[in-house]
Amino acid sequence: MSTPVVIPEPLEQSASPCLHCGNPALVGQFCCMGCETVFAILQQSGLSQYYKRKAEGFQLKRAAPVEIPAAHYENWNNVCGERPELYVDGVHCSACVWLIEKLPEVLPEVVVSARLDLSKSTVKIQLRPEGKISEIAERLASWGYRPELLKSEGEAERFQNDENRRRLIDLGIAGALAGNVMLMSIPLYSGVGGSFERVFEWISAALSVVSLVYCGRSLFANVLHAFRSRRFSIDLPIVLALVAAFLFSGFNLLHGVHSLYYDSMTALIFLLLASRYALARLRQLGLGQSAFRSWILKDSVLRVGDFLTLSDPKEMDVDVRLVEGRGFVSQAFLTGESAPMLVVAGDMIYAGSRWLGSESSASASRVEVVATGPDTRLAKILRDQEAISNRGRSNFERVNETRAFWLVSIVLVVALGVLAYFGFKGEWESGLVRAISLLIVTCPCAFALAAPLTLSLGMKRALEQGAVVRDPDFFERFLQVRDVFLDKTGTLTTGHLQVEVNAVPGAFHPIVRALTARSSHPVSRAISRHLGVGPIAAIEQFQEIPGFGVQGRIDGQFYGLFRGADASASLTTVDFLRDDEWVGLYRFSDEVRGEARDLVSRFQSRGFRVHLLSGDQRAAVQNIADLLGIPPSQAHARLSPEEKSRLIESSQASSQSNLTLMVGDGLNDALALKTADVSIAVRGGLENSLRVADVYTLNPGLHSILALDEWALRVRRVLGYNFLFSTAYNVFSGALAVAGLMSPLLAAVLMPLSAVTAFTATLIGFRRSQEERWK
Amino acid sequence: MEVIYFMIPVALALGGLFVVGFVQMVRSGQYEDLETPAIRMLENSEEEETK
Repeated sequence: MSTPVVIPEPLEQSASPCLHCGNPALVGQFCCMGCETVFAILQQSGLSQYYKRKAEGFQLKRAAPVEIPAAHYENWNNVCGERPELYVDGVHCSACVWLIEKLPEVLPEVVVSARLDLSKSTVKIQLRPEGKISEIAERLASWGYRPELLKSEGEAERFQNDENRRRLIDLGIAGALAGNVMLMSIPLYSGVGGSFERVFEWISAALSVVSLVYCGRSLFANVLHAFRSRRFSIDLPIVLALVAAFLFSGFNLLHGVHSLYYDSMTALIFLLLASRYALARLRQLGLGQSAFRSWILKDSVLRVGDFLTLSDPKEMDVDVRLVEGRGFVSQAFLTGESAPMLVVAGDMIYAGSRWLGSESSASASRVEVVATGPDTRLAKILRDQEAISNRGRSNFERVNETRAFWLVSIVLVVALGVLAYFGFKGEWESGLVRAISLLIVTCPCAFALAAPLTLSLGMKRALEQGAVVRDPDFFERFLQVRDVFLDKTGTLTTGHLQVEVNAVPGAFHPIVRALTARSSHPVSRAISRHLGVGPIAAIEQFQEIPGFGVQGRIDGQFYGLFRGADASASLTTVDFLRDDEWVGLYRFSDEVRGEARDLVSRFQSRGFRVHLLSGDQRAAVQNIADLLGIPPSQAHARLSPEEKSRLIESSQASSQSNLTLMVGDGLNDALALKTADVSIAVRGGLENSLRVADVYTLNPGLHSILALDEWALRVRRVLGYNFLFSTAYNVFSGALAVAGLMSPLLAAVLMPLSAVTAFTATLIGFRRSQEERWK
Repeated sequence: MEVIYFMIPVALALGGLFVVGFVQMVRSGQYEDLETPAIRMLENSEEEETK
């Protein structure tokens, strides 16, 4: 599994791609100075093969390098040990493996070895005693990657690692034993006679003791654990059948009766362990996404009292106070308000907001770190929300448990009944054979084996499309959804400003380009992006007036772009003036994602009621609702996080059986995500707020959700036919066993066969189409 | 046919050897990253070509 690299939107339209990153080139052959520098560095260090390798491998656009002050990495020297691990943003292909593993050659006095794990985007580094991690980080940054120091493996992770290895070893041993027992059974089935028969029988008996006692111990532990907490484990009939088959075979072995079930017993143990292992690994994969780990670490690097200089746009992960300069901040993730907000010295910028840039490109903005990690306002709010959570979640577990309970009870009661009935008639042996046949042949494969496999395959396919499903119960709940609540800012829209109305005559475009080209203000950038590349007028006396706009002299006349007169608080219009005379205006809106329309119509065609929730102004919300075909009565504007949550609650109250789905991105949605029965968090910039959701996406945008819906339907179909197959199989074969028409031998052959059938059917159900496989 | 009394222990011992090998491999962490080694292998062989 490879985590796709975040692909930034191309800044402007241009014909030739940047030599380094592939984005449209703006500065000569490069998109920015950073890429040019990286290119030069690689050429100088004799690593230019990188580009050749990159061209040979598959290619994804990658983020242009970002200037990070070297001091940022200096702090790492104090916290890392001799074998640090770095999360490297931007690795994606074989060229990266080659380049990064060249570190020991490039920095021989610092690094002993560097090993890249492509699937997790992490590098394990062994430092020389006097080596400094900051040198490595700077080198990686100079190559255009974004390294983040990871916390050293915690107790929990090491435990999980050991546990995984132990399970894998168990699985391997169970497989070897099952294979050998089958090998020993072949002569028995083919009718070898005499003393050899006894030899083969005794060897399979010895091997299956190991399999049952050693490999099967986790199954016994499950049953015991469930029993102690007064629950029926789904493993109970299987364990009973294993034990009964083992005892019965042992009894027969001692009495010289040639009907043994060691082969099916060991195969069953192997199959069970295999399915459990696969499920556990997939679950960990979803939970352990590196996004969370890198967040954890950033805290430890910045300390309270540190000063930072902010230049390029950046997601804030600490609370800071602006001490110098003026700039713009988007709080879309915190409040849902899409317009940029002006901050001046003394103002707080909270973790979770996005720094958009200084007001004028000339002056830098300095901030002081006020709170980090768990002390940030964001972390406090999240803690509060996690405290309110844990409500209504166990409902589906209970349904599953009830099903398992009934299946297990029915089988046990029938088996006991059969045993008692024939016992009374004095035909103990016939009763025991029938009961064991029943226990063996009735296999809750659809529940115990195929259902987890179905869910984990669904999770895996969803993960391939960038959606991390954190809870296997998700699919079941998702399929009962009737009311969908979509957040606007950041979810249906990108959260970036976009020119919606361009009411400036085309003849003035070269002038507007000249005015906006020199400003790093988000509004100027949005206009530049909108106009694209074209002729630029020569400008004199350019001036950026903080808080108002930009102006300059072109061909003897004064032109200016100024904040709209009618908008007081939000920056949604900009007027274009010539010598104080109004010529035209730009109006901005939040850019709607291309696939938002598909998502809404897909949900509507599935019969969902789609609602739009937003903290934004009514006009902006209405506009997007119209665009996406959401009825006005279902578009709600100016909502606080609590109101969003309340709307979902009222929908839950009106219908018990229909579940609600919330799709959101930011902290302002976190409460609603928690309230909704099912929640999907879309990746914006703030991984932390995604923790409350059942599913989060790794890529910005809604494509993952479209894919998720597709796979959820597939999960339902596969679960459906597996359930049908399993019911039919169990009823039919169970009846035969009770009637005495099913010998334990036949049962032992049929059961694994039925399990394999269910497995195969599930795998076929999740086959990707040819096209998907080559994506 | 008596050779079977000799062959069975040999077969089981061979099987056991593979199991021991497998356990060693798991303990050394070979199964934890299944993606990068495949690529790394390609890289090394290419390097020799260019030298």
